[in-house]
Amino acid sequence: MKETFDKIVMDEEKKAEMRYALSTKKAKRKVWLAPVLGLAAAAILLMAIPTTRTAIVSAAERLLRTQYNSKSGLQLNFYADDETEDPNENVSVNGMDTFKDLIEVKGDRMYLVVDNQLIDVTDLCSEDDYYLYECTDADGTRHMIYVGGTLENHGWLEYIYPANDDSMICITSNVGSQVQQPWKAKVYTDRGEA
Amino acid sequence: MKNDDVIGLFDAYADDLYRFAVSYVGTKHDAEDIVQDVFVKLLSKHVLFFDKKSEKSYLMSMIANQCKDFLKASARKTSVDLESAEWQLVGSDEFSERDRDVFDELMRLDHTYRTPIFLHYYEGYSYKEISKILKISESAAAMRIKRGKEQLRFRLEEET
Repeated sequence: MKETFDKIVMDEEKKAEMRYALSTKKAKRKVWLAPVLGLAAAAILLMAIPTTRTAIVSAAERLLRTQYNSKSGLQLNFYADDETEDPNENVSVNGMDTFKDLIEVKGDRMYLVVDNQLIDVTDLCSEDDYYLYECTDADGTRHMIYVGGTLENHGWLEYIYPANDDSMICITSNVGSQVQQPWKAKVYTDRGEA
Repeated sequence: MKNDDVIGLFDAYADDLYRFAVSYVGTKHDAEDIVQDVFVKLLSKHVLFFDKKSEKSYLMSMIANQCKDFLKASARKTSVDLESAEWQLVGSDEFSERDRDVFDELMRLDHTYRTPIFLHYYEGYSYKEISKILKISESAAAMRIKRGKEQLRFRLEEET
């Protein structure tokens, strides 16, 4: 077996092609904003922004490059000089006044509130499993919202894939640790991010 | 990860990962795509490795996940295109008659058996390490290897 499989090697031409692709491909910008726990905690999140980011927000010379809107009402602003290694250095978050939790509990039912819809997810997710809602805005921005948990302990993750941009933004709410909330671990596993 | 770091990993492990992907999905082109996808994914990840062994195990685990998704997506779970796989490999890797037989026998096994067998007997991973890479229990890894071996032995005895 060893002798046989030793002979299986990737073509050098293919390797060179891949190496070139890897050297030129720009990493997807991945921004994690976590956790957002209702308005109060969201406000804390803003206050907790490092000084570098605060400076970015106030610096007039920084040019706003793109702005993305999350389904939870947050606005994410990316600035032009975003070549630093940590993409979080060049993003600011606005929209505390418009922020809304995507999950609403009414009686013994749990709803995903998105795009003027009320989706009953009570039986569609659990402690171990999640419900996935996907939609695309008119401008091509794609949203993937994962909802998981129970009436008492639930959370969501919103992944935003802007159109014509190699970014990925993730906003999380009350997702806790993977040990406490297996549905989140399942999200990461299914997305290949585990 | 930075592009240079990812290329460093690519240079170190491309063949190992490619071989593993071939053993999992059975075809050369799919295995190449899987390896490429895994390295592209790495560009978006922030991963710190403690040692060489853990970085290879981590990459093997990424390959296993990618292969699993690939098989699910293409509904090839039960029907690896053996003829095509063989042809592609023979054409590019100069397989001898004996190599073809070995490869053929292994690929006839269901991937749930052949993957742990490959990791154990080719890569030299322990049951514990295999359980981490394939995200199965240690006893399941041992059982799959045992059953895979039994199937292989049975077939070889039938042929002789």
